[in-house]
Amino acid sequence: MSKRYKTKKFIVKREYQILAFILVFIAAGLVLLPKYKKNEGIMPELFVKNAISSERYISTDQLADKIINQDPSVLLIDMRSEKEFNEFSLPNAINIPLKNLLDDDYIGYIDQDIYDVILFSNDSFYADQAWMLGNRLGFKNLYVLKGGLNEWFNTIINPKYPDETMPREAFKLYDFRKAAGIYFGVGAPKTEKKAAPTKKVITVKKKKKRAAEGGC
Amino acid sequence: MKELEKTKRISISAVLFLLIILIGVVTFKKPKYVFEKDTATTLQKIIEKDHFLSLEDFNSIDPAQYILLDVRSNFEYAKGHLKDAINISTHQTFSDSSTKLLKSLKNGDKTIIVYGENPDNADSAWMLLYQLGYENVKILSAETKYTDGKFKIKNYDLEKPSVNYAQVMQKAQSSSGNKNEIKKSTPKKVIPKLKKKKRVAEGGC
Amino acid sequence: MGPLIPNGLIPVEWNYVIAILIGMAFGYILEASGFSSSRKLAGVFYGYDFVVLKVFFTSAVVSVIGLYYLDYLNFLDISQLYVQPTYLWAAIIGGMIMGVGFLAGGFCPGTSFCGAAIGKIDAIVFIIGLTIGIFVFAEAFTFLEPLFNSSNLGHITMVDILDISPYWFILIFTIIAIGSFVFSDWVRSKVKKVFY
Repeated sequence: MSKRYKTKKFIVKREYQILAFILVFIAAGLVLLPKYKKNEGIMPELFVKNAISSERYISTDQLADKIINQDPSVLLIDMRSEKEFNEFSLPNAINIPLKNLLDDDYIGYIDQDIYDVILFSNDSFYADQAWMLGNRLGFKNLYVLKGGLNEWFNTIINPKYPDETMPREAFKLYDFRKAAGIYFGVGAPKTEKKAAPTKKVITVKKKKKRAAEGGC
Repeated sequence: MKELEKTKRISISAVLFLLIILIGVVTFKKPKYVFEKDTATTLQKIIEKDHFLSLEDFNSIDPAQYILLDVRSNFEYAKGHLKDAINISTHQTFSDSSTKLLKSLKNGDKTIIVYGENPDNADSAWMLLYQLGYENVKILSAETKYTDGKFKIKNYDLEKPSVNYAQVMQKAQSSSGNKNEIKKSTPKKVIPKLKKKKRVAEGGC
Repeated sequence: MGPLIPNGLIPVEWNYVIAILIGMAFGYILEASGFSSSRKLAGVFYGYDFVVLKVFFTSAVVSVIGLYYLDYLNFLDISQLYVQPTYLWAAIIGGMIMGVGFLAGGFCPGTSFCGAAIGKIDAIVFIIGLTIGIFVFAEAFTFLEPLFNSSNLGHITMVDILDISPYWFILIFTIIAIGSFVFSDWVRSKVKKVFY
């Protein structure tokens, strides 16, 4: 064995020790680095940007139009309590009380990219708060019914007859609302049962988790 | 000699690994604003519903105990506002001056009372401030309006149904003899979004 | 930012393309580090070669450190990463069967394909056995299902069980890894050298 070979062998041996040291050093770095609080969901700056935009609002007229035309992409979610929901709700609405919003059973309805989820409550307050939470968690396709059910009753069920001086559009809108009101049950014959909104039973489908397969 | 070549390769990759981490740490900037409260606590707070202040309560408390925060636009604020209100419209929350101001108020003894055109409007600001860690914020549940050259404020009942919906519907149905039938649309089947993370390729050697 | 695919930075459709590319790289690394030789793989059981242990331990340590640095630097959200659910008893029994197969056959599933790719007959035989095993398992699944689904502990990690800071866990894990390398080298020096 030449001397040169020996020194090289020595370096090789040392090299593994150096590498081991580097590894421990980096791992220790993780422990030593100053910790800071992590942000859950989107950053506050983006949150504000989304929150001040009025894009999230959908008007009662737009919603009525969507329901009448049976728009398949709409998913109505009633944020009120179960009792209120059982008394009256919009057709085909699903009841998710505000307090259950983030429950595992319901989150799948809010966090999705297939339907346009329209949140509503008596006015737009609960729905708005739910929207804000959804916004923070980065959920897409969430909308709020502007004015909520109060506005719904003021416009669709009991539309106000426009003044004589109002533009033509106001009358057109009135006609639409009147017709929509009939669709939603105003003036249905006495014999008919109350237009019970079809209620859905929420079945929670728990997807079976895929088991680990293979692996060395 | 072959062994030496191999360790050289390992060393190079180790140095690269170290370098990437170093560059990352050096260039790392801590985000300026982070949410301190998570969504679950926020939801809890919302359900408790003690973050509102009705107009009567507002009038009865001592002005020295609170600071009014007007979250409407500067233009609306200039037209008229509540006495001694500070204007930070929601989108300006992160500007330098308002950050400074808000920081000085954070969790102090004074209550920050937020108001806007309506409670919805103030709610955005409240949600933001609460989640940023401000505990002493309340919403003034009132509507403000500038009409006839005067700034007016009136109480606003949150989430109060304007009419008894079920009754009104029943009355509306029976009042006229319209023969229109209500089309019952079939309930839609909703498939909640699949969590993508549940399907992942399996690892293995 | 990341994970790139769940956050939509890379469209989901690229999933398989990326999987194939990573798979190719993985196969290359396996073959390059000699994992297509069943003797090298079995060496870890007989104590004359610990490359398997070293490679997998190192890769685990390096990737966990890298991931947590990325998480710290906000390039990645570690909570969004997928954690395989733990089926305790299924994993123990499956692991034992797998270990016996590993020892007897000298391959694990991935490396057997690696070996077959360079034309090793034992690897091809191993793959045939593997396929038969899969077939038997699939046919007997009705009987095995209770075991297969039992004792599901959910998506848990060691950090959740021990309830310590992940950073400390990583440091301890790294030290354990290096300790095991030193120990394996010591064992290797005691065992008679085998040439293969």
